[in-house]
Amino acid sequence: MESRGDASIEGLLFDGSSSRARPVRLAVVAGGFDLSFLDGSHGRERLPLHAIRWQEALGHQVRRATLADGSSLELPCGPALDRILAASRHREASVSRWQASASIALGALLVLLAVLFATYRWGLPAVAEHLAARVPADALAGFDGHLVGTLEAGGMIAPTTLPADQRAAIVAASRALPGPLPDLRFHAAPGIGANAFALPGGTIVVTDELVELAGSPRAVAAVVAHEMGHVHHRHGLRQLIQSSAIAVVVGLWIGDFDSMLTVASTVLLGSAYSREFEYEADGHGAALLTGAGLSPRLLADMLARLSADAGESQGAGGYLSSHPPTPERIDRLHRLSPNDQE
Amino acid sequence: MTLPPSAQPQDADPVPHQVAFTGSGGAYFRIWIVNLLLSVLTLGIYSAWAKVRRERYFLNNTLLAGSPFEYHADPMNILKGRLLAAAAIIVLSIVAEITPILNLFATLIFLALLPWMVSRSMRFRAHNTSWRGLRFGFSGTATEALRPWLLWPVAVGLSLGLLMPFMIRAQWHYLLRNLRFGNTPFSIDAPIGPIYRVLIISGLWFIALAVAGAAAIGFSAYAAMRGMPSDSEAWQAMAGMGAIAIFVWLAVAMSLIAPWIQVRFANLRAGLMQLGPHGFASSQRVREYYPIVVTNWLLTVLTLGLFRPFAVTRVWRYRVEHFTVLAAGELDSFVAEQSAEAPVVGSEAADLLDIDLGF
Repeated sequence: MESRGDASIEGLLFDGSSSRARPVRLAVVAGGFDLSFLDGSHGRERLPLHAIRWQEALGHQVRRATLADGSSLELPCGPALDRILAASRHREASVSRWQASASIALGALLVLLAVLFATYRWGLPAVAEHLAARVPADALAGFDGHLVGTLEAGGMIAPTTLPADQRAAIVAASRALPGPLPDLRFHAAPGIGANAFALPGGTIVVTDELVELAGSPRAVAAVVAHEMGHVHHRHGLRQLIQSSAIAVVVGLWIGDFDSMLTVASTVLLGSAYSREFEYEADGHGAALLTGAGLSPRLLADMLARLSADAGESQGAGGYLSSHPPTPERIDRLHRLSPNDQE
Repeated sequence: MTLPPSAQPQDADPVPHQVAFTGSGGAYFRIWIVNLLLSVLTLGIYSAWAKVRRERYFLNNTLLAGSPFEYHADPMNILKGRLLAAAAIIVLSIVAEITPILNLFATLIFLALLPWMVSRSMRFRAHNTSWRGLRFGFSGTATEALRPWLLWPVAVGLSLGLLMPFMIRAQWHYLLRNLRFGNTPFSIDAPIGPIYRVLIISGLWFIALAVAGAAAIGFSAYAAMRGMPSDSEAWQAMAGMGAIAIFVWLAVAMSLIAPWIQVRFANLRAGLMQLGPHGFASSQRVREYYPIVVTNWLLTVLTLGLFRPFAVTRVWRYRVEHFTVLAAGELDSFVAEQSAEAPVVGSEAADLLDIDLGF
C-alpha cells in the first residue's frame, strides 16, 4: 500500500527458476528502489534505479520488469505504478508512446496511405522499368515458349488455319515497319476472338480472328506496330514485375483472409498500369507507321473495328477489357496523323 | 496417474483457471498501424521489431491465474530468419519461372524443407515464450517432423484424403509431446475416432454445399440461356462463367466449413492434452464463433483491410477466453517443484533463427 506519501506498490516476484510467486513491495527511496518481501521472510533489498528494466507497457493490467539476477516482477497497472515510474524518472520508449496515442495513429494511417499511393503510382512503375531494362532479352526467350505452351494446353489458342500466303503478306507488311521485326506467331483463338498480344520475351501473337477482322495485311501491320510498342518498352515484363509486387503487398495486407480477394485486387490494381502501357504502345505504333510511310489512322480504324467487334460478342476477356476507352485512343492517334496522308 | 477420474479422491478435483484477455482492438490498432508504417518506411526491416511488439501485446494481455505470458524473441534473430526465407523464396521463384522442369524441383525442395521449418519455428516460439519467469521449450527435431509433415501428407494424397485424421493426429502428437513448460512435459494421446468424426461430418457438409451450389448455378445458367441455339458463343461464354462461379462457390464453401473444423479440433485437442498432472478444456461454440468470423470477413473487406487488427483481436479473445487450465492442486507450487532444476537457458534460444513467414 502507499504509505507516507512515498511511491510504493505491491506485486509479485518470480525468481526465474520456479513459478512460485513471492509477494513483494517495491518503493522508491533516495536514488534507488527498496524491495521488501511480504512472505514472512522479512527479506529486504536495496537496488539502484538502473537495476530494474521496465518491459514495454503493452499489457493493460500487469506491467513486467526484469532484475539483473534474472528474476522478474509483475506489478498491477494503475496510479500507484505511475507514481513509481515517475519517481524513478522512467521514460517510455518513443515507439511505445506513439503506439499509445490516437492522433499519432491517425497520422501514421495518413502517412501510410500517402506512401502506399506514391509507391503504387510512381515508385513501382519506375523500379519495374529499371529492372525490366536490365533483364537480358535471351533470358526471356524460353519464357514465351512456355507461355504459348500453357495457352495451347489450356485450349485458349490452337494452330492457325490461315493460308501460308496470307501470313507471308502480313509478315511482309510488318517488315516495312522500321526496326527489327519481332517473332510473329499466328494462332486460331475462338475463345479469345480478334486479338493480338505481346509476350514478355518479345513474341507477338496474332489471332486468325484479328486477321479476318482487319481485312488487309496493312491493317494487321498497324496492330503489330502497336504490339511492337509493347515489346520495345518491355511492357509485358514490367507488368509481370508490377503485378507480382502488388500481389505480395495485397497478400500481406489481406493475409490469410481470402486468396480470391487477393487475386481480384491484384487484377484491379494492375489494370491501371496496363492503361498507361496502351497509350505508350499507341504512341510507339504511330511512330513506326509514320516511319514506314503509313498513317496512324490505320491503327485508329483497327481500334474502332475491334471495339465494335467486342461490343457485338464480348467473349471471355475481350481485346478492350483492360484497355482505355477506345474513342480517346482514336482521338490521340488522329492527332498524331498528318492530314496529307491516306 | 492412470487412475480414471472417477476413482480419484474427492479433494483432487481440478481447480479451473480460465485464461483472461485484457487487450482491445482499438489499442492493438494503434500498435498495428505504427508497426505497419515503420515496416513500410524501412522497406520491411522493422517488420521483425513489429512482430515482437505484436506478440508481446497479445501475450502480455493474456493472463493465466493473474500472470501474463511474455515473449522474449530478439528481433535480430527474426530479421535474420526473414532475410533467409526471403532469399530462398526469391531464388526458388526465379528458378521456377525460368525453367518449368525446375519448378517441380523447387516445389520438392520446399516440401523437403517443411519439416525443418516446423521444428525450427516451434523451437523458437516455445523458447521465447514464458509465464511467471519460466520458459516453454520444444525438443522436436526435423527428422521427427518428417513423418507428420511429409510422409503422412503423401499417404493422405495417395488415399484420396481417407487417412487425413492420421496425419492430424501425428501432427498433434509431434507438437505437444515435444513441448514442455519449465521441465514439465506436455502429453497427449489422441484416439483416431473423434478426429474421423469431425472430418467426416465436415466432409459431408462440404459435399452437400458443393452439390447444392453447383446445382443452383447450373440451373440458373440453364434458365437464363433457354431458347438460345446450343452451339452459340453465348453458350460457351455462359459455360465459362458457370465454371468460374462454381470454383468461387467451392472456395466459399471451404471457408464456411473451416471455422467449424477449427472449433471442433480446438475443443477436442484441449480435452486430450495434459501438462504433467494438469488438464485443459476448451469450450468454444460454433454458434458463437461463426458470427465473429463472418463479421470479421465482411468488415475487413468493407474497410479495405483496416478492420484487420480488430478482427485478429476478436478471434484471439474468443479462443483464449474459452480455454481453461484444470490445475491438479496448487498451480503455483506445483510448477515450482517440477521445474526447480530447469533454469532458463538463454544461449539455447539465442542462436535460433525464427523461420516464420507470418507478417
